[in-house]
Amino acid sequence: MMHMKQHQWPSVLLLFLGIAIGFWVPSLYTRAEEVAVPEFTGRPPTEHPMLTPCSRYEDRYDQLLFAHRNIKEWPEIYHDQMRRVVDEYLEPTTFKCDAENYTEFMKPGKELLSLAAALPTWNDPKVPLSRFDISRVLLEYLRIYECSLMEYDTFLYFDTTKEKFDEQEIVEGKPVNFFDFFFSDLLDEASVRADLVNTERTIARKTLQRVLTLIATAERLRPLEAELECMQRYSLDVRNAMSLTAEASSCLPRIWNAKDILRDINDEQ
Amino acid sequence: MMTLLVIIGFLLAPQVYAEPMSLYDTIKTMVELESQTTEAELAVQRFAVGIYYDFVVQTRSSSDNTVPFEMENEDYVDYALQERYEQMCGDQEDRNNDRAPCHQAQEVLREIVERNAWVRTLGRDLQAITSGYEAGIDGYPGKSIDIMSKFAGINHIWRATNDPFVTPILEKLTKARPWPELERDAIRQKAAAIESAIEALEKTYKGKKDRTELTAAMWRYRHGVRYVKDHEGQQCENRWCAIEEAMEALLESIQKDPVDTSADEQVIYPSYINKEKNIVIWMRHDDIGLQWYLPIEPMQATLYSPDYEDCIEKGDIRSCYEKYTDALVRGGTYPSKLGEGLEAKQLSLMGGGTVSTDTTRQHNAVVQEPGLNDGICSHPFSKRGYLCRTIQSESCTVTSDLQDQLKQAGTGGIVLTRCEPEQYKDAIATRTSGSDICDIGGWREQLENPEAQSVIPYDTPEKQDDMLPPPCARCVVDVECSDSCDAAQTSVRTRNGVIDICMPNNPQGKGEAYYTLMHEMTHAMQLCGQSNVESQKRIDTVQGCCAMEREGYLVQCKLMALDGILERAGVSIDACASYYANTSCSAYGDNACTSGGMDTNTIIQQINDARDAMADQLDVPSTCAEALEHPRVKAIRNSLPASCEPGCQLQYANTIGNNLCYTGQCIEETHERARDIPGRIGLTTLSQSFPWDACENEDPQIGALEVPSALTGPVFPSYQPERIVQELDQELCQINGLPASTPPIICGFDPIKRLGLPPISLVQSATDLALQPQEYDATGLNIQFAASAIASRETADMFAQYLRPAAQNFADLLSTIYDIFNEIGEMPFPSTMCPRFAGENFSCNDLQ
Repeated sequence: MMHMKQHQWPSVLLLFLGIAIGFWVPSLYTRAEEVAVPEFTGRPPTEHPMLTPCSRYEDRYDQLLFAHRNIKEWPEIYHDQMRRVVDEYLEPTTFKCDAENYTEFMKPGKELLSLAAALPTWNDPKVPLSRFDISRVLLEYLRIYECSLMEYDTFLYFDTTKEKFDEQEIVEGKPVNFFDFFFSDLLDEASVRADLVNTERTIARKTLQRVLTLIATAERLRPLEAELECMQRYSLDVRNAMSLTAEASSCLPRIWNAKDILRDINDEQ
Repeated sequence: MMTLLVIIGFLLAPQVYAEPMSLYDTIKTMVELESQTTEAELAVQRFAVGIYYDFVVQTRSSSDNTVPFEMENEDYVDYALQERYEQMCGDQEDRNNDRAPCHQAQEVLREIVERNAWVRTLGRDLQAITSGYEAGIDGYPGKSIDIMSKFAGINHIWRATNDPFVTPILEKLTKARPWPELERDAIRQKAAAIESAIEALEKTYKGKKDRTELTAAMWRYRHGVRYVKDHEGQQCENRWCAIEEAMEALLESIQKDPVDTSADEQVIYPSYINKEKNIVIWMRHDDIGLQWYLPIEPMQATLYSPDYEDCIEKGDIRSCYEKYTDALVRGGTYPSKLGEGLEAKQLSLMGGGTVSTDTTRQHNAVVQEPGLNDGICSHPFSKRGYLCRTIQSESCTVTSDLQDQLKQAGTGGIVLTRCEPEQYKDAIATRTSGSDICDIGGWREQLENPEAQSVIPYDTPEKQDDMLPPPCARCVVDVECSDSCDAAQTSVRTRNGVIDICMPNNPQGKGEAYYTLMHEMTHAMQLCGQSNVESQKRIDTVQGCCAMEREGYLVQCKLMALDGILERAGVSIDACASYYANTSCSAYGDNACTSGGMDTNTIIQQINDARDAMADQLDVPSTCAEALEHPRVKAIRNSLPASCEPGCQLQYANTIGNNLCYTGQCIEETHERARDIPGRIGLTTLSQSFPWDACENEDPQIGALEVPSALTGPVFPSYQPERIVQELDQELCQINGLPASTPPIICGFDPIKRLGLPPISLVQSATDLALQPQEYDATGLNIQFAASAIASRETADMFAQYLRPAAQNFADLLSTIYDIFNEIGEMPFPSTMCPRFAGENFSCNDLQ
């Protein structure tokens, strides 16, 4: 470098300047654009998905707890939720006979509302939910449950290991040594979980299908029953009005009073 | 101290109790039982160990025909499912060192269990489908969906008391009453006793529960204990006698309720319901029975007789098989159309009850249409269904002739609609005086106060010359039962307000006295309050004659219909009334009152023949004297007094119909015999004789513009199974993206989809071809799911089509009522009373 001729220095400086401009200056002005769905797709990511995902780790399914709890707790969570919704559906309800529309007339129960709120698309307050959506909501919940089971089954050994490590960490209060967990233990634990997955995949759908078939009568006839109850109440009102009319009409001939034939004499006369 | 701590520990221990199982849990337990491959149901287990010996090839040694592996224990079935070779095969090591027969035996047992479990699962699925459709409409109150009792309640609120014998619609009326007050505790105890007797039928074997007998008992007594005894014999044979005794004891308590059963009403009491155990004990005054709260478990096909089961529990399985081999019901035998090929023994094993093979062979159908009061049609609400009554409709697609043709052709025994169009000529009669509304009477009740002026004098079968109408009545009826009366006749002329009816003592035909007397009483009501001249004018024209006679015969025919005579004769109420009217108005020519082409004498002969055939079943008065005491006859007599006469009392049940009858009669009587505005009655009707008559407000014309909606009965939508199947076939093709083809099965899978693909490798193509059957299965499954959706859509559409006209009629009626009440409410009434004198300066403004 020291041996460069004086007339070569501007060329070198120009070279360095070019490199600087090429590497440093752009970094001052270049920004990574935020990842966003282009406008021409028409659906921003916060809206309802067109293809519903089949994974328990989706943010949308966070409230369902399958991503956070041990798989041994899943059957209880799932069946307990189903039981509460079905029991609530079959309980006698009071009807608001002067409601303006069917949504007000037959409101969905609290259990159904809370389950639907944890599921797309009903988690959007703009999407209406009626009592008659029970089969759709329950089938969607079942679908997510089955997806969770299937996902667990696909990554059985990984998820089993992770769960066992989490369990032991909670018990011992410190991270578990990987080499303390033997392969034979893993196989045993995975087998137990595989049985659970198979059992649940066998009975969950069949149970729900049969339950929905049985409560189909309620789904189909409840509006008619409600209308009949209101009609019964209305009929009682009409009957009472008719009774009053009959009492009033009994006075009609009694208006004819024999004394009226004899008129009072005017005082002046 | 330790003791105290232990006590505290016990007190703090969480209380564990068995929570009642919900529907979801019950179904889940059932599905778990069906799905698990480690345990067989007890009934299947016992069947399997017997049927095992049928598999000769697998289980017998070919050399000496011995059975190399014996069923020594019924637990072998579960061992086979769990593949516990040591437990099962180790026992017979001494006999035979070869383990192969044991493995074969396990395979055989597994196959038997799988097949039977599949059948039983199918039965439960079918039951779920049926319950899903019928649970809400089967009738008795207290169920989760209760439509029929609400419907009956609405009916009761609207109906006038005389509707049962006035309206030409045949229906079984129901009345609800609470349990008799003094028997309530006894009823609860007896119902609990029935529950215990039912629960005792559940069997347990080594932890396995078998509810077959319990389920059978629940289904057996679904139509009532008295029904079973009437149909199968009073002697308790092959039934559950303890349950029957308990039910009879409960029925005895119910029947202590002093209820009037003469009005042909079925009286229903609140059901005893145990939701936890899914048991309902329904109660009527004439019978009680059992039902499921929600039917989940069907009566599964019987696999063996009780004798075989007893034998298995006690002794050697093989000897039980050899002794009772015929008692094992082998599958694959379906009841044929004519009932042939089905042994009587097997028939009696299946579902219980007496099955007459002659009857089965007689009717050329697999499922027979139930009789008028048989089976499902014995219940009050089910009687209203299409299966249990003839639909009277002006337009329908199947007539009774066509129904017989269908039966002959063997295409089916159940026809849901049958019709006979109305045949009478329009004849409406009004009266110049006397009520036109509810004129037949029968809507009022007997007054309890004997001193009231409205009480009608008692009528004896003899002629009572001194009878006079009471002050509140314009007429009274004197019935004379005498053999000097050739035929029943009502006199047109009255003597001092008494209308004479002459009846033979014992007219020919069972019940003739009762039906005819009701007919004549109707005429008496028509003539009551009219002058002799008016009455004569009324019957002097053919229209008047037909109108009067048809009204009387309508009541007569309705009563015959209630007793089932018209159903047997195959004649509608309208036709009966119209053709009978022809006979009474024959002076005006043949068929004076009908426009139909049927012969009057043929119709009447059919009715008489039906009545004679049913003579021993009819529970109606036969003599004139007995008929006079019938509550319905008395009900009409009670309606003779005027409704609205000042100083007169009357009593009626508070229903809309009765209130309308009273209001209408009040208005009519007021217009005929009094004035709306107080004052002296003028010389001519409505003439003004008091100054304030001119102050009468303009007639508000309430209801003048209201047109009552035409009461079109709901039309039963036509069921077109061929069209629905075609739609399903199109669906199969659409699912695969193919156009509709014939036959549609070729849309199942298009082989070109596989063969047309560029061959990646021969192995790939071969695999694709091998997978083709699975493709067919997949599309078949899709169709299976789509079929239920299509069927639901079709039935929902039919349901809506049926309900729409009825709902529309009712909505129009309610709208009319609302308008009328609204107008009455807006009517201005004067705030001052009419003055007792009018001076020179009197003005109508004084009355505003």
